[in-house]
Amino acid sequence: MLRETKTLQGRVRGLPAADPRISVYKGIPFAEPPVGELRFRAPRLPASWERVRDCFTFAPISMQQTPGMNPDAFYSKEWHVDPGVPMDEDCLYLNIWTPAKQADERLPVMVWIFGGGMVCGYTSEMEFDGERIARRGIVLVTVNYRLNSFGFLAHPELTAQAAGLDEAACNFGLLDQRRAIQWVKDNIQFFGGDPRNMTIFGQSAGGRSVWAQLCSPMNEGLFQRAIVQSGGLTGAMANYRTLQQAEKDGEAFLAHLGAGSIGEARKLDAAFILQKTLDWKGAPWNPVVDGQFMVRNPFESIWLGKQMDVALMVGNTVDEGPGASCGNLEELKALARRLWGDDYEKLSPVFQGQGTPDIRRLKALPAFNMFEVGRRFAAISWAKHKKQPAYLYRFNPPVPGDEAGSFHSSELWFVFETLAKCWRPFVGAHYDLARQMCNYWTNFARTGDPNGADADGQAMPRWPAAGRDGDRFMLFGEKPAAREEQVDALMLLELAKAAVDVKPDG
Amino acid sequence: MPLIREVTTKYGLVRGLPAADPRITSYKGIPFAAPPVGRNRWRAPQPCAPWKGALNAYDFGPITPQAVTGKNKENIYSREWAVDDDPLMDEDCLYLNIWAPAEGQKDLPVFVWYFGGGLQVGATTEMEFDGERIARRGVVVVTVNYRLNVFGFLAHPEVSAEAGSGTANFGFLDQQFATRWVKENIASFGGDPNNITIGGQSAGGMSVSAQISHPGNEGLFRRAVIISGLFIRAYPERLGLCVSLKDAEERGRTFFSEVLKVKSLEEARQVPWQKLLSAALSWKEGGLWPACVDGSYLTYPPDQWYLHQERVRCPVIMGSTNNEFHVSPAAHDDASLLEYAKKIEGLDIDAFISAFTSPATRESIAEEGRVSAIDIAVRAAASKSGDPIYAYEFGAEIPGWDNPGAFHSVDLWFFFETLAKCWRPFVGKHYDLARQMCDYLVNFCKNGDPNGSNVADGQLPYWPVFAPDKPVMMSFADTVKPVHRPMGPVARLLLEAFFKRMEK
Repeated sequence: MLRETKTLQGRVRGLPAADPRISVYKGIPFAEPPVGELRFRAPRLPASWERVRDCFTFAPISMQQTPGMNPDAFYSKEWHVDPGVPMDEDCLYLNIWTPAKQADERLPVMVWIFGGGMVCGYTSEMEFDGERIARRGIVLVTVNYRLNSFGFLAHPELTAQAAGLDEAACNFGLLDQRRAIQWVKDNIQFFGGDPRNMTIFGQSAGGRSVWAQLCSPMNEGLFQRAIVQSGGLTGAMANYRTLQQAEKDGEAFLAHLGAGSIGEARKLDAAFILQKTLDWKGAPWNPVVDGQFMVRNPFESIWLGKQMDVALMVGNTVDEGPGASCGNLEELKALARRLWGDDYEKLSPVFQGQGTPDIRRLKALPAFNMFEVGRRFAAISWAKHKKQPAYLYRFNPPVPGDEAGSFHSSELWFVFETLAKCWRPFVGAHYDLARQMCNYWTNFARTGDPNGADADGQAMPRWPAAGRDGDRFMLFGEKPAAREEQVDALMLLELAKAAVDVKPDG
Repeated sequence: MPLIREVTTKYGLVRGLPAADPRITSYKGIPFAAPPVGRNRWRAPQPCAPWKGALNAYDFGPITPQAVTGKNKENIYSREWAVDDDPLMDEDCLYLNIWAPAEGQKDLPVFVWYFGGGLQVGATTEMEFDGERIARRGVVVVTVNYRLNVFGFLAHPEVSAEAGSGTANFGFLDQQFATRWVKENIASFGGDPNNITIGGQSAGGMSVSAQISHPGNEGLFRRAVIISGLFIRAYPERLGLCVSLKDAEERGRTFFSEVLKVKSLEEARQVPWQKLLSAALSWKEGGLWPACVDGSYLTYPPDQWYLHQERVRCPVIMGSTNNEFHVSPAAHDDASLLEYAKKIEGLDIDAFISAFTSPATRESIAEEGRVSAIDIAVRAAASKSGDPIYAYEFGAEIPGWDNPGAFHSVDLWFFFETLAKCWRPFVGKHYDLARQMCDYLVNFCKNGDPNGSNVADGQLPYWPVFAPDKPVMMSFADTVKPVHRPMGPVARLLLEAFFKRMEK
């Protein structure tokens, strides 16, 4: 077992996981602490250390609203179980689970980017425990990154400073992810990983981050595959800011802080900045088309085929998105009217017919779910522009415990096969599904194809690649089953709306 | 309220780590006794010295000196869980591990676990014993290490003389000492010192019997779980891990003089532990190192506790897997069966012979005379102990290329709900079974009765107390359900013969 190894910065010591065949290293620094003069700057290589560094516990989470303050809140109940979790601006650390016995095993690598709307989230959320993925022969890395104002402030002074330093001027959170992925590429060989077989994956804002990494011209060759789970690409989720907008937002935010300059803002207490960030009523902390890390809105890049040519897995749950949050038929109708105009009823048979419409079916209408739209959008681009395949999924098993259904993020318990930790009364059938999903994910990381055998040696249900129009996908219902679904009028309209804004070049 | 990761014990501050489930803190490698080295070798465990500052209880202590089997993948247990080819091993091994709910709960029931391994091998580090899943159900789980083989079970006249009484069974004394440590300190971890359940499997189950049979343990624990650990020698073949003090001392004397080639206890204590271990392992004639009836800690063979009043009274869960410890008469025809029966003291020979088909063959005798040494013990305990006995049989379908059946120890993955770590391709039904078995165990730790709710979906099937006139056990198989299991004629006669022998 590989309980101690080196990195380019110094030696590190890990611990056995609950499964002793896995070694875990928690809290390895991948960048200089982004504090003081390094606040609001692109991350830099970490300093080296002399003695063996004990990597036994998760590092502090990024500055954010304390998670789990309200134990009754939906996601608190799900996984934010420790409101006392340490938080610090010094937060650029990653965690590694490796099954390697020796450093030279060259195992496939998966790098996880958590979600939380670019404003919250952390690697120590219990659904992200890496033991089960690692047991399948994968070196799993979970990376932290800066969030909210700490991760996404832009400002004319920063732009000027970055130009002189040849750094990206903003998107620090995304740059942190990139720095972490680069650190993994440079160091994972010492943990038994193969730096030439790396998959990045993320969910929600983590999935959105994966889109951004895929589209950054700075990342060519950095990783080999990508998985996007309910990561926004189109519609409301494609709200990237221009640098000019973001700079204006930044000036307003500095005024809100009472800081006359970036220099002054860097001297403020991090807790104070956090408080002011939580009070901030200005523009949300969306990533920025900065011209360096991000040269276009990612959905434009993908429509134009400018993204990296890597195998892609992309999917979503059913009970997420604006349709799922509608409480009744009137709200659903209002949503449809907003999206497709007053004649929406003529566009799809789901709104027609006699009697009371099936609310559940309406709420789950794919065209309501921007993650479905993005999935389809990406599949079409991959088929048109890329040699590598795209594999699509839709996650919708019965989820016990409440009426939330396959809520946004519910697949995480399954992908990481960590469902035993959940409060929900999962039973054997859920364990079967989780085992198979974790198998598909890790197979994909190994070869770019999710298919393969289950634990008992029998082939799992075949998951076909998306096809030219993105019709084919795997439905994770009670069991996995391949499905084919042609685009309907509403989806077509959503795709057209997304594409119409794309400017060919320039 | 922040989650609790640091606890004050009588001996000093202990710092743990979040388990993979952050609502649980694991404290690994807490010393509960002075290192049993030097003058403390072959001595009852001594209190450990207090420490200053915080003890980082982040990883397991070393395993007890023993033969390492991990490299031999032909061995089912090496494949199953002895996955570390090169475990950290040291004579300084008296450490325990705690998994405690970290959200500030108080007065939780406590489960103290003694691992098995024939008193010769085994360790708390085995991955099936991870305590997280039991702890998540609101129990403080403690797994304790103890001395094994020559280190734990040597007896010698000089050792007895030094102690002033027949002192042997250091492994059992370690378990008792650890359990006392738990009683003394567990409140700081959120446990209720007055609601301790001890449990063990195989030789760990025998260890539970040893603790029950020591009357001085009254008040130390309230309930007991004996998994595949209580046997009756129904047929004359010895299955014994317990001998007399005299025999044990004689063994010890031979070992010192002929194997270790030392002249005194003092000299033997100076032998480096690695050398002592290899000497013991090389002594093929010596065989295993058994417990002994030392006259001080054990006044009778511990697997007969239910026949004695001098013991701890408590409810007990006990049972077996379907593929272990079945025995049949060593006979091949009518004549040899009769000869065999005559050797069984107290047996109603006529009735016994008439329970077999005649003319008998090797196959018919093996089939008709087949009894479970554990099943008979369960019935003996239920009829004589006067305490509630909850009996089970474990017969789940066990997957894997080796088609092992429900082999000895495989149920541990289920009671601890750690089956995800196993190489075997377990599927949903196994998770359902594991969840319910763990629920029963936890309910028993809480109330002394395994019945109650199932963490997933409501009530567990009702598990009645086993009684000779109402022989109902819980069957853990593809479904969980109580089953009526009357005793077969051969087993009944063997049990009656056993009782007759014991009365003498």
